[in-house]
Order: sequence, then structure tokens, then C-alpha cells
Amino acid sequence: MRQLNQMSIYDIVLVAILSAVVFIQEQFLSFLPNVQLTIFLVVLFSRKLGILKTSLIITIHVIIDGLFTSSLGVIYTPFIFVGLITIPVTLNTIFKKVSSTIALSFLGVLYEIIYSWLFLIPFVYILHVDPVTYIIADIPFQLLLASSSFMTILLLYEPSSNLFDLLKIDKTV
Amino acid sequence: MQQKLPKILYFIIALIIMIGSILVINNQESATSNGQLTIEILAIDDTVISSKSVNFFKGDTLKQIIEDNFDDVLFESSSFGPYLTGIEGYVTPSDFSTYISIYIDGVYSTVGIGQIDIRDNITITLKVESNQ
Repeated sequence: MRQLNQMSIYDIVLVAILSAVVFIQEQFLSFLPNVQLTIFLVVLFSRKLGILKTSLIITIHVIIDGLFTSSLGVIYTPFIFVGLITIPVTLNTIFKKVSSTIALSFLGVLYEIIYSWLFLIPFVYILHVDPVTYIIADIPFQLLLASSSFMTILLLYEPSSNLFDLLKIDKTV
Repeated sequence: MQQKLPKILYFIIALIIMIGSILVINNQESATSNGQLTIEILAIDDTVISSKSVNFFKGDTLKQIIEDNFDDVLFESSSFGPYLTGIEGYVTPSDFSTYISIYIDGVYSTVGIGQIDIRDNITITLKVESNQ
């Protein structure tokens, strides 16, 4: 709470702009199934901005995306939120020392698996879908999201990280 | 250069997986033999709008079968394949407050119209459901 109170106007504007970037790229790439920059962006923000600001960006994004796609509710929203919030939490704790782009790309695949498998919970317990059927049907979509997350982190993380350094955007609240 | 090699290799592998997945997702299932299936349309309150037993033939897609046997059929092309937005007088509103969900033999379908395996004697239920 103290940290939230210490956020400057600059930080609030930064969070708002980066939330818009996450939302717009998702809509812009919606013509391609499961191809988006969201996991890459959340990995980048987690590393450069820390848990607090990244969590705020994720919260804003999940709410706006839910409102925009009419999916805001118990079936999807909590699982999207948990799936994404795992990234800043783990990258700033247990994976804090991971720094190579290739390792981060593989972590992107792990985050995609966590994100996708979380949806097994509502599909099985709320929509009563057979778990094996769901997992099999979801394999191509998971592979697509995993490969797009892997490729975007591999290609874009380093230059984007350098850009953040150049613009002096960091974890300082 | 030595540092870049693994990156290029990983990138190529990921690209191949990505292209393969897109091809699998966009590939529409078609009937592998002739047969008969039942398609029923349910309103939001579970009343039956329409129910028909229809014959299908080898090579037919479910999209074709629906278009040939029902009125006011509207499909939108989506990144996940054909997306049914209207049938028998119902049209999905622009805010998606209601939509058409698919059940196969009473079980919620995890795949869209384009990926449903067309088999003899199955019942496909197209049910209007609310997002709220």
C-alpha cells in the first residue's frame, strides 16, 4: 500500500500507456489465433518495472479486455488474471536470476502452459467438459501460443529491454 | 556468431511449430463417409427453435450442412475458423451478450464448427446462451 501511495504521475501515466499497448496489440493481432505479444510484454514489464507496476498493467488489461470481449465473469477472468500475474511474481522471485534471452523464451513457454492449463478448471468444473477431450482439442492452440510467445521473446526482448534502459524506464517507484 | 546460432535454430523450430499449428487449426473437418446426424437449435430458455435429422455425404463440412438445411444462417470468418453468428432468426448481438454455443451429444464442444468430427448418428445442439 505504501508503494502504491508513492507512485508518481509519471508512473501512473506509464502504467496507463503500457496497459493500452498490451490491449491494442491483442486486438490488432486478433485475426491470428493465439498469436499475440502479451506474454512477451508481461515478461518485459516484469523485468523492467517490477511486480507492482506490472500487476497494475495486468489488472487494467484483464478488466478492459473482459469488458471489450464481454468475457468478464467467473468463467474466464480469474484464470486469465492468475495466469498472467504468475509472470511478474515468479520473474521477480524464483526466476529472478534468469537473464539470458533464450532462458526467458523457454520461461515464456512455461507461462503459456500454466496460462492454458488454468482454463482446464472452469472448463471441467463449470462447463463440464471432459478433461482429456479438452486437453487434446487444445494442443494445437497451446503449441501456437507457446511458439508465438517463444519467438517474440527471443526476437524482441533484448532490443525492447535496451530501449527501456535508454528511456530510463525502470523499477524505481 | 556462435551466440546467434542457437537463437536462429530455436527460432526456426518455433516457426515450424507455429505454421504447423495454424494449418491444423484452419483445417476444416469433413465427413469421411455418408451418414445422418441431428441438428437442433435451442433458444436461451431451452425451447426448441428447430430440430432436423439431416443426411450428409462424404466430404461435407458441418458449415455446409448447416447452411444447406437451415434458414438465416450467418457465419463470420474468425481466426479460429467459421463462427456461427446467426441461424433461424437469431442473430448474435454486437456486444456478444448472447452467443451460440455448441454441444455434441449433450457435451459442451471444446472445438468450433470447423473442427467438429462429423460422425453418423451424432446430435449437434446449437444453443443460444447468455454471457451474463
